[in-house]
Amino acid sequence: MQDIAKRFAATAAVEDVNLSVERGEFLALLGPSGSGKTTLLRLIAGLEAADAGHIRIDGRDMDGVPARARHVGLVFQHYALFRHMTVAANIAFGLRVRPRATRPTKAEIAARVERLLDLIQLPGYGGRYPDQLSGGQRQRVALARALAIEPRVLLLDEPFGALDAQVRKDLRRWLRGLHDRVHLTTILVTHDQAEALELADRVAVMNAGRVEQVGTPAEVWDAPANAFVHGFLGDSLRVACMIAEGIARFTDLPADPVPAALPDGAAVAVIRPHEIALRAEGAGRVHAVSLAGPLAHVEVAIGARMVEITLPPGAVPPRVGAACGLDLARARFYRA
Amino acid sequence: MTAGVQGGVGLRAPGWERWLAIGLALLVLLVLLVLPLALVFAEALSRGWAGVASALADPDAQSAIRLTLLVAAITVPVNTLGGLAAAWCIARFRFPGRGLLLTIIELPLTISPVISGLVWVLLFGRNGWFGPALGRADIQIVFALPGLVLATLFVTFPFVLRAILPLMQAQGSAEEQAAITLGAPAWRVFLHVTLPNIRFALLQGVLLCNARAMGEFGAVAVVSGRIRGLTNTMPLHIEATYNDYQAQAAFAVAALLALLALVTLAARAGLEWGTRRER
Amino acid sequence: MTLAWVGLLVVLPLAALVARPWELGMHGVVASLTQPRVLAALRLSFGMALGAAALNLVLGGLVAWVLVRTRFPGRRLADALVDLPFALPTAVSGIALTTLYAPNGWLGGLAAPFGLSIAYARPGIFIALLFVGLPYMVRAIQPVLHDLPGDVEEAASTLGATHWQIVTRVILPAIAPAAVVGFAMAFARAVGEYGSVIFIAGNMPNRTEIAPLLIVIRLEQLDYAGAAALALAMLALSFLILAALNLLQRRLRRHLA
Repeated sequence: MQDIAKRFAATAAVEDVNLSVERGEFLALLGPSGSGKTTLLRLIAGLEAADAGHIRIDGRDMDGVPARARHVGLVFQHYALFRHMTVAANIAFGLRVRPRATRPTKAEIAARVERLLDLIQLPGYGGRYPDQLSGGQRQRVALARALAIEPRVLLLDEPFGALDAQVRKDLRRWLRGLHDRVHLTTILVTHDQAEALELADRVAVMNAGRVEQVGTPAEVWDAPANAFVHGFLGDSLRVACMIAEGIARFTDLPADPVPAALPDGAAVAVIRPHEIALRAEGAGRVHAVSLAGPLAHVEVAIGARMVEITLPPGAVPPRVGAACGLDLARARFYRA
Repeated sequence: MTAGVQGGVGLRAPGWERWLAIGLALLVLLVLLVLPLALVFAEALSRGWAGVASALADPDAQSAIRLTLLVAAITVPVNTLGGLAAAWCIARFRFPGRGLLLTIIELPLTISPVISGLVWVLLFGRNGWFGPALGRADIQIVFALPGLVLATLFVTFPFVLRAILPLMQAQGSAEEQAAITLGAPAWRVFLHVTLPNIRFALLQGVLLCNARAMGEFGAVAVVSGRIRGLTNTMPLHIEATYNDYQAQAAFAVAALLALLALVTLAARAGLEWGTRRER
Repeated sequence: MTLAWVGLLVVLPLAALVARPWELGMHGVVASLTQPRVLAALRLSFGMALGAAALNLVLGGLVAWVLVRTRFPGRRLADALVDLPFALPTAVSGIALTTLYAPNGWLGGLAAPFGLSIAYARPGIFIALLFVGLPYMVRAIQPVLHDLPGDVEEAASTLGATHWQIVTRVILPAIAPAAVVGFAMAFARAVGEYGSVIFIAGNMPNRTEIAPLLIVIRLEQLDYAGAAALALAMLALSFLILAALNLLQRRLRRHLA
């Protein structure tokens, strides 16, 4: 994909996106709602037309190629199953609508449907109707329907968004296992960072129509390219600061200055709850302590803010009301 | 990003196919609906406003207009109250025969207007069940105002109920029960809780009921006896003048009823968004 | 109060309708219903009503689709106009359609040179029934089409379906139950229609005489039992057809909870 731009009315939904996906790769497009990731997916599928730029699949320019000729499997957030067709008919749809010359025989279609039903672990469900299935089952049928046409790319649009937590977790694991077996080029759109980090080979973090960072889950987690990416991946505390001669002085939180490898000027420090260390003295006061399994969460009232800290396993939690301070030495600094 | 693609507009058909479809649909509406409507007004005005005025000033026309207004003034309130009561019963209570009741109430919608008139003649006509008895008591029902009212009541029977029932069922009785637990007497609950919630839908139902009451032809044709200046309503007057080859006079009265229909449609369209808010 | 309202206004009159024909005796009823003129009228009324409802499937479907899925100036006006046959008194539409399609009318004049007569002949009846049935069809299909998720059509498209295949395999099956309901309502209205039809029909016995008119004629001859017999036969026939359509509709809807 090169320089993709898509504008809706006056606002740009996707701007200057350059991405390439390797064959067999699992890429996640991660971003908040409104970041343009679904629009990008629809551009790839051919459901929207790009205002500028090109989309290539297997080296072929997709400009002017209608959705039905792209051989792209798209799985919708709300499944979009055909309610008046059985599960088997849903899966077979993409094969049955082919022109006679390229249409497989009835027996071949039936055999492929059976194989796909096995693949999605719903053997024997072919005669049911979508309304007789649970949400997770429907989503797997939608996936089988997309796989039936042997797509060159599989696009998943928030495929787990409408499911409850446990089903989502199981389905996520199953999907990763499936990808490891069939190695189909896959693009997943999600706003759930845990989902993206767990499933994808590479993650593209999007914001306001732009790609902020592309990298492996480890890269984007350990070395976020900017404050947005850092802030979007998990909870974190943002503190404004001024940097002078390699030392960051925090301006909106009373904490000790720490070294920072940035040129002089205004900056922002971003730090995750488990990276903040608690000190015995300082300007803060322990407001609340809660235990979640082996981890202790401490809420500290400091300055005008309430800061949440996760203590390392085994640490003794402080008393509520005790004085305390914050050590922000492990913060990452970005230009403001 | 469009978070919920569901319920979107769907695929766009290619340009020329869309415009062909739009063109064909508009042609259907033009030929089937617009032209007849336009023709009513064109024919009415074929002799200018003076022609309309003289047609409407005709004593028979005057009497038909008065009769139509009178019939509507009786039937619309009766069926509004009846519809309200029935909708309330059906929406709020579970009782045996509830489904049957609903079916019976809807029956007049699927029955030919002629049959709707016929049933009253079978009851009160000269050879009807009660005809001879009424004749002795010198009470005239068929070929008189009571017959017109009864036939009109029958055909306009379900309109109010149908307009408000879905709404009352959707809204449930939680609000009413809340009002009752707060100590409000039943009639106050109805007046201050139930009625305001359904007012737009109710008004729509009343409008439709009124339009049908004033415009009904088949049912009243059977019971009226078509006595000019006496038992002819506006639609019957239209028939009589039209069959007398006074087309312009017929269309002048028809234009009046067509105007009523247009006002009804416009008011309904206006009330539509109000109803949607109530839902 | 509800029961009194329903009982007096609907149940009692219908009871009279059900009871009256039998004073002719079974034979009398059969004889009265099998007169050639009666059979011709019934055939005409039911045939025309079914035919008009069938054509309305196409016309109403088209209008509904255009109103839901396209945007054009005047769309809201067109939408409101669809209800005109509901609101316009039948006598008004009757004389308007007759004048419009008469040999010297705006549209009848176009057909006259080809030796085609619309008014005072069967095509006229057909057009009048088309007119009264159209809103039922449009209003039955419109909400279903509106609620049909757009992503289903998009899914079909990414699976390789052409526009035509999307229409025939995805949209039509989804709206079929609603279309059957619309067909049933358009038919029920058309079969009993009186006011819109009698002006344009010509009312020639055995040719263009509809069944409701024959009821009126019998009543005017004070043949109450005969009129009631014909009315009852019409109701029974309609009821059978509506019941069959209801069954069909349920079958189609079975899997669409």
